[in-house]
Amino acid sequence: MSPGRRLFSLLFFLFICSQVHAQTKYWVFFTDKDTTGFNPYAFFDQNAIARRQKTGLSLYDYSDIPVNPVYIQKVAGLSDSIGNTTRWFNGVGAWIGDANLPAVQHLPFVREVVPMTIHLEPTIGPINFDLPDDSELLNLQIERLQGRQFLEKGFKGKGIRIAVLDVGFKGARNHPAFTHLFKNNQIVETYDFIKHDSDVYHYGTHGTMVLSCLAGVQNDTAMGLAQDAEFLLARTERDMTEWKDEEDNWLAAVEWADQQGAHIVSSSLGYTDRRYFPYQMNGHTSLVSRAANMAAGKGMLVVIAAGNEARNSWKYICTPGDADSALTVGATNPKNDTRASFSSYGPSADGELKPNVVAPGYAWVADGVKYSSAMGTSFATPLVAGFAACVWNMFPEWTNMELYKAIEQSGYLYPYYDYSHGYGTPQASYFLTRKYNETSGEAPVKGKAATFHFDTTNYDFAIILHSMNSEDSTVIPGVDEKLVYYQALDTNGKIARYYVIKPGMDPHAEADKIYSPITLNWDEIPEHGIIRVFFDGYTNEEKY
Amino acid sequence: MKKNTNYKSLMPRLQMAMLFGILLFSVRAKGQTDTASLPADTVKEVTEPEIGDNDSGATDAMTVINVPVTYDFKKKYGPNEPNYVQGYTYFGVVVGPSDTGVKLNYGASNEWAIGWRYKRKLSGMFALCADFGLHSAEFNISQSAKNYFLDTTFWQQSDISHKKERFGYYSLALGGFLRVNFDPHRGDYLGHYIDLGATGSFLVSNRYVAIDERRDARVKSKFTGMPYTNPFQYDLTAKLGFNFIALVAKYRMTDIFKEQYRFPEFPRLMLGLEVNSLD
Repeated sequence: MSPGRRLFSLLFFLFICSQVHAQTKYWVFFTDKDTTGFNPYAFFDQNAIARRQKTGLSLYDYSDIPVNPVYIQKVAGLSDSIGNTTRWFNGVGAWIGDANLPAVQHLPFVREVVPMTIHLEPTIGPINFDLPDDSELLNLQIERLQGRQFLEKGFKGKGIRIAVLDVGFKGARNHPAFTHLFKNNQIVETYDFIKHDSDVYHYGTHGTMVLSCLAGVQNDTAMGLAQDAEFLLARTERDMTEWKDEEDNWLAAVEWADQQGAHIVSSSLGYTDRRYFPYQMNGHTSLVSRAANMAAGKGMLVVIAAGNEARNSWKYICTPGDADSALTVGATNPKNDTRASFSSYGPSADGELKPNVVAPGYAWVADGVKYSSAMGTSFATPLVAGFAACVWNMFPEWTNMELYKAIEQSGYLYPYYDYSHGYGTPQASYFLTRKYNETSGEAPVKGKAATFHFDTTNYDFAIILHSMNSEDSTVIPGVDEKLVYYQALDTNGKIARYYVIKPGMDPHAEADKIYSPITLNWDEIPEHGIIRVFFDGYTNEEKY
Repeated sequence: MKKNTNYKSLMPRLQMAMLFGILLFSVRAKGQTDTASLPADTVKEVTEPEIGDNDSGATDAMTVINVPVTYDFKKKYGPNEPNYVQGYTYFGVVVGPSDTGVKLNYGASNEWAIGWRYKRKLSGMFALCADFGLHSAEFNISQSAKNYFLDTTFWQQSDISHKKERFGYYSLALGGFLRVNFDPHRGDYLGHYIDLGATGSFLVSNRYVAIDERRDARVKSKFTGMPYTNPFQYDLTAKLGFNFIALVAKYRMTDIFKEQYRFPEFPRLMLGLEVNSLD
């Protein structure tokens, strides 16, 4: 064979290989549904019915009616295989060959056929670094949310059903951290959306670690706050690989969670550059963020990890954390409650405040075999989901969005916020105060006493911090340092830059513990804007 | 025995290619974590306390977090953004028959390269790539068959056998490719693609080495700067890429040796693997 023909043969072979690899899966969306015979009482779990009634939703909402099985059957007849269906978006996933694609597109009941190109890409597994092998983290992950106060009052998420969507729950069935869950039948339902069976206790341990931050126990010490909650466990992701159909699995799992009566969805999964660009993190581009918003519309609280992208080129929130109705959770270093260096930044691409709140991103977890330390927004998320279950246990009359707002208001920074910490770490004392001292039904006023003032008498713009011996301090117990959070807003009211400062001590002060003034750097501040400051539970702002 | 010899001659080149690869990736990895090199719309983080560190630190004010906010999420640089630069390493082996008069040890006859690539996105499906790199090719000549490669020139007699005999050259290469992507709707990553293009090379140096064993003495003869090679070459190249890894097929269109010397030509086809740096 001549070299030329050899080269041609090689290229032809490579081309064939690439064509075999680039298989195409499609979403086939339909024009209508068969609304006859739909019985919500038979279709939904009782919890789902109650949630809809509380939220004021119709039990016969069009989006809840299942996809017409006749349509699915007809598409299946023209497809190689059928994937998940979505009643919310009225479609079905299908592997369709090129020859049959026009026939599917021309079916009279097909509204749209959208390709889902599939990629096999390596992903980073569960983050698990060499953190101290002791119980310090265990205390921090509970105490930073003041979780002990919930547990002591008996609010442990009873009556709340939490759906956990993850890569697998390997080892959970035999791990001592979860003995009580199985003994008390708190694992209500499981489903593997990849293998299509009910066994989720295999493959990855990431879900096991996440579950431990919701309801795990070590030597009678709670690792998460939802000790009495019920759980729905769904496997939607393959460990170590990333396929686009995992987004479809996620969508299917959320619809399943809705049907099974979940109150809270906790998902420590995020999608970034394998499918999207940062500018698409606007809450309505990706399928999963639209699904997250839909889930919130069905009355569920959707708690989503912000992502671990801050050190990578992506940097920003992952989807579905960009969904405006998702409670997106960033990670903090519990040592000082500031953003962990890996935790993704907000805002969303459409300018929404993200993350909404933060929680410790360094956690003590059950890893399938033993206990270990781990870090990531993956673990901050279930800590907040467990926290939310306790609050909903305390205020069962609240809707999901009332709960959402209240959790934001309980953040220790509230009403201050920035795009690393949101409103800060939610605080249990806020809800206990509200529960037991409730008079007007309004949120308690936080940070009444001024802890600083502005000094603009000189050319410099300075923040003068008051004595740190404030009796009215609302700073988180156990945080070693009181930090100053401040931000510069431009003339449009948008945050241009934000800072967290550890204030210095005045070495010349006669009395102990007097802070040095903080003089702002004009070079990094927009002209004619506003400086907003939070210190020790008090927020104020000043034009300059 | 001969097989072992071939592997020995192959390994240092593999190791060198791997070393360059590691160096390349080390440079890229540092760029991802070095806060000083981050663009203006990202963080400048001064410190993050270690877990378990109970020392509250100095009394001076200290910036813990300093973040400028961006509301413009459109990037101009990235694997699937308008512009992208990445490093690459390549290792390939010679395949296919030689001209009559020279037979190669396959596997030991190979090429490695390191370089940088600029990618200009035209659309989700199409992109143009420009490569600039340093290449090193070596052809390990088999002594098992009748072989008169260069012998008449260097040794003034034909059909001489050596213990080892090889010919190689370094070149600076400039390549241009059209990239066709199989998933135009992908996110910000390279994806699966095929590259079709050509590479022009300027031969910086050449070398001929013969090793002989005579009366228990090992004699190494090395000739460089020989006038026999064409200073310019060009190849046709096709690649099948899977994100940061690509299978490469190169076909040399020009002769290595000037026509007037009438040396037998080495095989023109090379198959190899390219590893790109990640961002």
